[in-house]
Amino acid sequence: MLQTINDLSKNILQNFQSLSLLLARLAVAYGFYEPAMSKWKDIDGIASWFGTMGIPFPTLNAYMAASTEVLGVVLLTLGLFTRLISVPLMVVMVVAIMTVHLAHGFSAGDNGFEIPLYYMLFLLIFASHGAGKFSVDYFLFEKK
Amino acid sequence: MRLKDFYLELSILFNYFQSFSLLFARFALAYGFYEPALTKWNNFDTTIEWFSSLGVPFASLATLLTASIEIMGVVLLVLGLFTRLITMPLMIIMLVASITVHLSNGFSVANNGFEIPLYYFLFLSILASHGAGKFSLDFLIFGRER
Repeated sequence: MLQTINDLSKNILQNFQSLSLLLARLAVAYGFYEPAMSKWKDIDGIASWFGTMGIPFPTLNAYMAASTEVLGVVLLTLGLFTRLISVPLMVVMVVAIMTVHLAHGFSAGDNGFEIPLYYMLFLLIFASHGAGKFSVDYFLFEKK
Repeated sequence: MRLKDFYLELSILFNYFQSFSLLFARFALAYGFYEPALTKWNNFDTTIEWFSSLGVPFASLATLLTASIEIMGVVLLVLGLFTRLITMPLMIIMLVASITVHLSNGFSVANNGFEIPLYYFLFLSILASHGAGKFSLDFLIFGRER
């Protein structure tokens, strides 16, 4: 009985795998859009901000973070090199959590690490599951 | 062709982390539902009044349903038991919460917008379609997921 219910729901819900990955990709791309843009608009300010937080090579790292985020927005939207771009974006999130958010606790209301944690989990899912069928990756690499 | 081979090799390597990613997402969701669930149980009457002020029909029944589904969600998501079944009502709760409470506040979490319920909805839809992964009771009971 339980086995039947489980198999039935599995067979139906499995059809939504690619849709769920597409929607999550678009949400994460939207989430990275604003921080990416604000970093590019004021790259010198970001570099000195990075310097005050004790990040080594602040100017280089400001450019690295800003370009990774912009690339992330484009590639996640297209679903191109999804597994590859997820890794540096996860590194950006880990650094952001450790340098900025960890001291504020968990809750997003206090600028805690809740939202970057959710982004990391989404990115881990993208890295391990790929972008799904609604992606450029699928046409380039997986379609037979 | 080099690029294609490289990407396929990378895919095979990264595929090993599928069950881990689903496990972590389940834990994060369970933790996220823990506080609202307990708040609803501890302030049951206040929650009923709040629900009816929001225009939710059958406020007492809706409160009872929401609070029980959220508590069940916490337990079942941690265990990875009946994952696909519990994600459906949890997604409905997130949808209703977004519409009745958060939508008028816009997107950003700073204004109590619908950002976090949206992320929860997306995590739940991924769990519903992919299942709980190998580190779950579902896998032990119902056998190989894939």
